[in-house]
This record gives sequence, C-alpha cells and structure tokens, in this order.
Amino acid sequence: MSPRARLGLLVGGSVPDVVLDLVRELAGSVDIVDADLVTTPDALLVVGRDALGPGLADLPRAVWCPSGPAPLAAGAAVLLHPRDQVLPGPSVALPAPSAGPARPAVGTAVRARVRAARGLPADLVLVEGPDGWLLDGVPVPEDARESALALCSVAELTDPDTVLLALAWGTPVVTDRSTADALDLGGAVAGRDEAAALRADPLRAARLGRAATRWCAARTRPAGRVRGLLGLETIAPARRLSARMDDLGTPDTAYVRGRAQAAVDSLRGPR
Amino acid sequence: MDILVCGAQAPFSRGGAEMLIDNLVAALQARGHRAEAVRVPVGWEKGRVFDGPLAWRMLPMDADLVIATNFPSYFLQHPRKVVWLLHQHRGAYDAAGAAWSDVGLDDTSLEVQRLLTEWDAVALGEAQHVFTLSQVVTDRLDRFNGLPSTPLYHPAPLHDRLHEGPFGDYVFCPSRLEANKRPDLLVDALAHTTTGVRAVLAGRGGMRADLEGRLAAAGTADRVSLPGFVSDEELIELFAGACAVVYAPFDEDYGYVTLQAFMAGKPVITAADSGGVLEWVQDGVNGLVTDGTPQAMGAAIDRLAGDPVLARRMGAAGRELVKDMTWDPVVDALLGA
Repeated sequence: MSPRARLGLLVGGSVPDVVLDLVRELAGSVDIVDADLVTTPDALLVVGRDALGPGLADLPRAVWCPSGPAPLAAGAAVLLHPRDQVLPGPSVALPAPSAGPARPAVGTAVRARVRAARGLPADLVLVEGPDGWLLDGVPVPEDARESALALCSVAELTDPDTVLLALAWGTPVVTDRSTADALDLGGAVAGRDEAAALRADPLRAARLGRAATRWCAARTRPAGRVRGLLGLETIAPARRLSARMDDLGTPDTAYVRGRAQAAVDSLRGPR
Repeated sequence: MDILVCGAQAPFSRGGAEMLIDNLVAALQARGHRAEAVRVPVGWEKGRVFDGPLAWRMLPMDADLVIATNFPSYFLQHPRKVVWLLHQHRGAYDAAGAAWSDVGLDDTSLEVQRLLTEWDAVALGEAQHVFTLSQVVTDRLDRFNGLPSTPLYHPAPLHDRLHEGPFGDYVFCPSRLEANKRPDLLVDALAHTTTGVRAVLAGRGGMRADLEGRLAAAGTADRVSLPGFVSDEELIELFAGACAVVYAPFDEDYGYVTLQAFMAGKPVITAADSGGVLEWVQDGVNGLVTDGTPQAMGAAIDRLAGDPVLARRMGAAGRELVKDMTWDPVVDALLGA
C-alpha cells in the first residue's frame, strides 16, 4: 500500500472556518503536517503568510486569498477564495455551496452549432416571464425547457432554481441582483442592466458561460479538486483512468469511457 | 530547473510546431536549465480524438516545470503547468465543417465538440498561465472557450541566419502545398501579372499535381518553379534573392514565413483573411494586404516587382519590426508565470 501524501500547513494568524473545513475533508485522504516543523511535505496549504521557508518554494501550494490575490498567489497551483469572488487561473471557492443539478455544460460556440444543425436562428434569447418562458418570443412548452436552456444564446431568468439549472447547462445568464446575491453567484451571472450588451457581444457571452461552468465545478468536491491540483491523489491505479475522466466532466455514457475501458480490459488475462 | 516541453507528434512529418519546440528547448538550455521535449502521437478523427488527451492525462511528468504547447499535450497534469498554446484541435472549433475536418452538424459531431470544449476548458484552466502563439489564437480561445490568455511572440526559425540580398526577378513562397496554405492563390495570381515576374513556390504537399495542372492550363508553367523541399541554406538564399514574398494562407495561427521574409528585408503580399500574418503585415508599410482574389494578388505582385525602390523600402520596414526579436522574453515569460 502506498504511503499517504503529506500536505504541509503554513499558517500565520487565524485560520477561517471555511479553510478548516477543507483541511478536515482533506485529512481523510492525506496526512496533514505543520510545514514549519516538517520540511518534506508533498505540497503546502498557505494561510496568512507572505513568505516561504527554505526548501519550500518549489512545492506546489494552495493559497487562501480572502480579498484578491494574496502575496504568495503568484505561482500557486491553486487559489482558495471566498464564494463571492472569481479569481483567474486554477481556483476553488470556499465553502462549497450545496449540490445543485448536474447537467452537461454546453459552451456558447457549440450552442451556435446546435442551433445551426436544427435550423434555428443564429441567436436565440430565452426570457422567463410572468406568463411562461419565451424563446425568441415563442412560448416554450414545459417539456422543452431544458432543451431551451441548452441551446439558447442568453437566458434572462429570475427563479433561483431555474438560474441554478441554467448555470449547470453552462448558459450565459442574466438575472436580478437579489437572486444573484441570494445564491452567492458573484461573477457567474450578469445583471439586468447588461442584458442588451450581452446579446450583442458573443465574446462576453462566451466568458459568462464559462464562468457559469466554473462556478458549478467549484460547487462539487472542493477537496478533490484541491487534491488533484496539488498532485496529492492517492487513488488506486485501476481507478485512475475513470477518475481522470470524472475530473474532466465526462458523462457516464461518453464514447471515450468505452474506449478506455476496452484498452484496460485488453490487458486482463483470462478469467 | 528541470523543464519538460510537451507537444503532439505527427510521425513522419515536421512542421512549425516541431521547430518551435526544438527551439524553445534550446533556448531553455542556453539559460542553464535542463530541458527536454516530450512528444506523443495524436489521432485527430472523431472516433479517437479523446484518446490523446486521456493518454497525456495519465503520463507521469517528473520535472520542476512543464510547458505544454499544442493539443492534446495541455491535458497533462502537473502542479506547475504553463501552457504556450500553438493551437487546439481546430477541426472541432473554427474549422468545423471545413473540407479536411470530420466534424459536421450531425449529433455525434456536436457531442464531440461539446465534450472537447469542456475538456479543453478544464485542462487549460488548470494552467498557472495560458500564453498563446498569437492574438489570433488568443481570440479563438476567448470566442470558443471563454478563456483568457496572453499572446507571446517568438522569433522564427533561421532568424539569426536570414539576410538581405538583391531584389531579383521572382516572388518567393515557401509553403506546404496544402489547401489551408492556399498556394493556388499565387499560381492563379501569376496569370494576372503583366511584368513577366517569375515565382518560386517551395515545399511539398498533396496539391502539387493540381498546381501543375493549373500552371499548364494558364500557360504560366515556364514562369513558376516548384523545387519541392529545399534545404535551410537554399531557403535562406531564396528569401535573399526575391523581390517580394507571397504568403496568403487561410487564417494562419502565426506564420513563420512573414517573420522570415522581414528578416530577409522583403515585403510580404498577403490576403485580408490570412489571420496571424496580419498581426505583422501593415498594408503599404511593410507589405500589401489584398482581398485575396487572383486579380488583386497579381496587381500587388506587379506593383512590387515593378518598383524595387518601393519593395526595398517596405522590406526595410519589415526588418525593423522583427530584427530585435529574441527568445529571452519568451523564456522569461514562461518561467515567470
């Protein structure tokens, strides 16, 4: 059995509860050590420190950034940040919100291809109104709502559950500030005042769709993501292939899963 | 520092990506680092396009820093991964639907595009920084994946060996003879010239027979030379002796030919849809940007072939633009990310 990886804590001052929760979760799969005392951890988790000790600079590190990039954020393998922030690069929001719906994200460029394939207009705006959903002004039947979320250019929504469902689909979402605040959506959605600009700007829509997908990814398994980004995975060899595909958001039915399984099966002896 | 420079391999083929990786490794070694290239073959067809990413995902990468370049090498996992993106799988992005891409509007293609877009976003999002070959690549990554990146420009191969020379009686076009490079534009344009200028079209590829047929049909075969592959030494002298360089590929990522032409002090004739070439060529300053029609290309060739003073002035402006390029800023950026 392989020894467990060691995560060194490097702490200055108090540790916020959200970080402590993450450490507790990580402790289930890696050994937590004091990086000021143990000089050979496999990776670091840094809170409130602006310098690294000798021998630690080359270790992969996660850095808690409570209000924008912290001093040791440059070169970090992963940035930990409060939910109301969106940081560039590999980052994980803390705490992880409760699990929402899981759907295959559809990027804005792929949405455009789907619309072309179905003979639909190049741009389709979905609006959730008091009398139901309208797609380019046309009522959307109840059983076609998820399809509409998956192929529209932009969705203007209010209902919190619908907003979460749209984000799971990777939809560029416009919503009101109260809904965004209630769900801690940060930069994963645009405000009502930005609706017109968003409709006219495919690049901004693409970035917003990506922010939605990243926000959803951060909702699930923060400890697993941190462990993977720090290179601390301790999963069994036989599970590595499927774990890699899980991390990439691969559906259970994806063709590549069958190909990978077949490649592994071909190495097995007769049973 | 131990650094691995990673890229896809196309067995039995050598192009710009291979040269870039070799030159980056050399530049890192020149700075005192231990650097090596890691290459893994890739399949581009829909049925196995995810095999390469998954293979990279599983590889052990024991180094202090890894620099991933093209699809699917950026799927590797490492705590210190920096991406210098040459290109994604263009057949599933901007070139979906092109004659050479097997990605169409059928449901299988759409799911391949969807999943690849998401996989790319995850793998590229893990990087400490994503640099790109050019603004063209940055724009594509923004448009298709909603991801930010920074263009990082580098000198072309033979940068330090290319030199100026006399303005001869031919235009030069070094290019693979493939559809996306559009060597036929030069062949067709020559039929619309009036100065009797010659052309040298150097390179190998599947369009050779088609080009020879076009030349025969147009009656210009005696004015065009198709020498096939040429050595570095021959290439340098062909650049040096040309009156201008014609380079009008479709939506090129970067285009070494442009930078090499400028280093040789030659103006470049291109087309308005040539992508990264337009990040360097300024119409009327260091070259001519045409609408890509044979008539316009022919007129541009005549203009420079018939006016060596103008060609020399534009070539000098091009050389001024690129003469100070080195690998040092590239290495600094990649190591400082």
